Amino acid sequence: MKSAPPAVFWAFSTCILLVLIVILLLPSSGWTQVKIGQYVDEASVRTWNNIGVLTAPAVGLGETQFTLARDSSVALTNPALLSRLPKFTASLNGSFVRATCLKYSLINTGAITSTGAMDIGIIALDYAGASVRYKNFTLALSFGLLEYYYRPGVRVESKYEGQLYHTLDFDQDGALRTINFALAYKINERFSAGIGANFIKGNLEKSVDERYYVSEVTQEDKDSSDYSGFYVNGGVVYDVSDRVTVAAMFRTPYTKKAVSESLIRYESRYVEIRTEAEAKDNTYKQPLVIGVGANYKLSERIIVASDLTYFDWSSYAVTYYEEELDRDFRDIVKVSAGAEYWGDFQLFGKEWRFPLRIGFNYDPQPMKDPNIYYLYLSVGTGFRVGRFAVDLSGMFGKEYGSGDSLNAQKVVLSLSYRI
Amino acid sequence: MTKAKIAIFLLCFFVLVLGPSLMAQNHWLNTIVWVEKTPENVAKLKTMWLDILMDWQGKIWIVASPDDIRKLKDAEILYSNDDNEPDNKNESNNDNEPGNRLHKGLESISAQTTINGAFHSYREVESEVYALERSYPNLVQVHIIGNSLEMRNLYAIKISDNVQADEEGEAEVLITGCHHAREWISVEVPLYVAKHLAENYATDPHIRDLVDQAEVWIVPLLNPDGLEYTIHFYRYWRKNMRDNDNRTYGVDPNRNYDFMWGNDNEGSSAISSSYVYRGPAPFSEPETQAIRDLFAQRDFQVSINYHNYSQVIIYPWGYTNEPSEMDALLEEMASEMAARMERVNGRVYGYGQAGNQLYLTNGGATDWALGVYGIPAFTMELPPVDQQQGGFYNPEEEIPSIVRENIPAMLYVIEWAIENK
Repeated sequence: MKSAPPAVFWAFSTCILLVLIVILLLPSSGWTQVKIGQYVDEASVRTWNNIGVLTAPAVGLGETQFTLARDSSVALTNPALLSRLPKFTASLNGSFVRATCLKYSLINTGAITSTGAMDIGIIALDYAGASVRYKNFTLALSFGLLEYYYRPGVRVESKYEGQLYHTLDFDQDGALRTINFALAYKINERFSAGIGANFIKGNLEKSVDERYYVSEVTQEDKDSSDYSGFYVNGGVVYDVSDRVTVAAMFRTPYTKKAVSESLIRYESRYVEIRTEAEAKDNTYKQPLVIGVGANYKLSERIIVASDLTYFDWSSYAVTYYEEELDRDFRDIVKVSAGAEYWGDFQLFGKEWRFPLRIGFNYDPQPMKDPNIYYLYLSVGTGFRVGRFAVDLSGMFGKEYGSGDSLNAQKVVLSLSYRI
Repeated sequence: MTKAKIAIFLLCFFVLVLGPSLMAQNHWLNTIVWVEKTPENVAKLKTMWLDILMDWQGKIWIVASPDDIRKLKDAEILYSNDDNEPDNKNESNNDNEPGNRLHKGLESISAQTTINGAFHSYREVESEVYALERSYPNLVQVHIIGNSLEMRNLYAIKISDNVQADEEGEAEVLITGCHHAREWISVEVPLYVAKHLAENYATDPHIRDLVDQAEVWIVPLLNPDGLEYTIHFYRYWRKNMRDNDNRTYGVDPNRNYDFMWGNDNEGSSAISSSYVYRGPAPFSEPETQAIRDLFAQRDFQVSINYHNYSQVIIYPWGYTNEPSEMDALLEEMASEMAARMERVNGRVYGYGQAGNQLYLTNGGATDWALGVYGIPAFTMELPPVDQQQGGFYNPEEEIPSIVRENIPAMLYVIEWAIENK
């Protein structure tokens, strides 16, 4: 017969419970004042967690990128996969990205309030590249659009008795691009390694233009930054067996440097007042990225793949005009998974192969407050005929954690030519 | 003769070739500076044979060699150059030389690093106050009197002899700046007052006398969250950064004090999107709570609140256009301050009761100081005079002249507090 727990146990448990209740009932410290959250000025549209460029095959597979070589864009993620491409490939990739955002710059942070979330829509040719294999070496050259800094423009108009007396215009745009030189080496039939050098260039421009028409007063606030930087990415891929492949990749931490200019201008009928500033050494310390992946061939036609990607965002730091900006970030692990089925049919005397893809990814964002993540579902298809490959995929995601119910979508079209 | 000709030729050659290069070297040391066009300066400059470039917008621009710079310092003429970098060549290192001291004082107020130019950001204010404390540990003590909504420190600088002690019987004065975020110049003046008192204590007997008999409390930046918002997001923001939970932000700190709070909807607003939103309750904001608590701990004789713009000195009442019982004294003090300020640069400050001068306000700091503590209180609305002259914007190069002209007024306020303790 079991004996009842001693009275001390119950007393201790009750104390713990009371402490927990008190902690839960404590008033908040007011940390959640104007926390912009995801879309601070330098945040890329849709996600902070960008490595390389997502081409259609990767998107269709839930953003898995580390173990499957579909085109030369692998040079930007795991360049070891270049050794698994045909002798020659050339690829183009275009994306349509749509995302909603609520708080950014002066929008919904104080100065301007919108009735709902704002739409960002971007169409871009975001990858062009080629690879060439010679014996055990594969070289690749890639141009990629890594990040977009566009924000929805806003115009506020104030009228009195039908007469316009005040306007306020906000605009922001910019992007970050890379030129990547990658080299892969096939060590043996099962094992390859690769490394890439990335030279990044970009810019961001933001402006607020406010006018009072009766008093003829103009207030302008313009900020612009030119970015540059360099980082190395690399990886390995290994066929454990005929069915299982594993891979690992890394991207070195690096500093995105910015040369920035700022102008605050006031003009009236009688005066013009300018406050100008320039900074040649603004810095954005980008995190280390480490990824591992695996795929498993269920059959000749079906393959499943998954990646885990670790971003060292806790080391992220921004120095802007000699001041460190508040960027309280945490490390995150992104999870991607997908499945691919290959079918084929005959048409016009040629064999056509087509993939059907489905994927999922869990994409936590690095901000501690608010603590948010996106969940994406993706689908994709395409065809291969002769030397040409076309892939089309879409991903649809929803944000959780901010209470703003943001969402994001991406539709990607990839074209490849391979020999 | 041939040798003589050769010698003459060589001499001419060297003079013609090297002479200009030597002059050019000398020319490279010249710099362009400007001085305020005051009657005093004009009279002094007339005797100095300087290379006057132009006379423009109240400033006299001079092409100055190192010798000319020395002349300006000897004559105690304050000068500045566009990039505000001190010209260290040939400068005396003797800080007691009047020119050096005054010049150093002017340039030491300039921030010059962030995107708001020579105006101070929160981090720069933080850095300045602690640097002042380190430099003058017996005169300056930094207190953190609270935290803003975004957890920035609210700094108060105490200036007194034996600053570590709370000396009974000493008069106490409070000077605040930047209740309103967009009023950048209202940070500079209190900050410079603090620096001026500390830096001149050892060499100026009058200042030493005042600091020995008083405790001067200066809160240069009461609304740091709002200030940072104006620097990084929207220059025209006024309030703090309270999330009002209805997609609007901000409470006007200068409508949040508990005297005649919410008296009417003309002097403040109950609408959270309004720029003069008074908040959900009096002293709902940590920024105003910090001032309230500081008043409760101290025994202030006078309170000064810096704002801009309008170039006027205003005093209670703001909530009504009826005068207060202290109106005659307040007018006398305001008149004296305005007169002393005018003597510095010739800039005329108006003065009068707030409710009659500008517009009605309720829940303001100045009314609260008089209404609750019965002490003279003033709102110093700094230049410019109106929106057409710049409104909330001041040219960076005007910071020195604006801060300098406020020194005599603040010294007067301290004198009055000591005499009326």
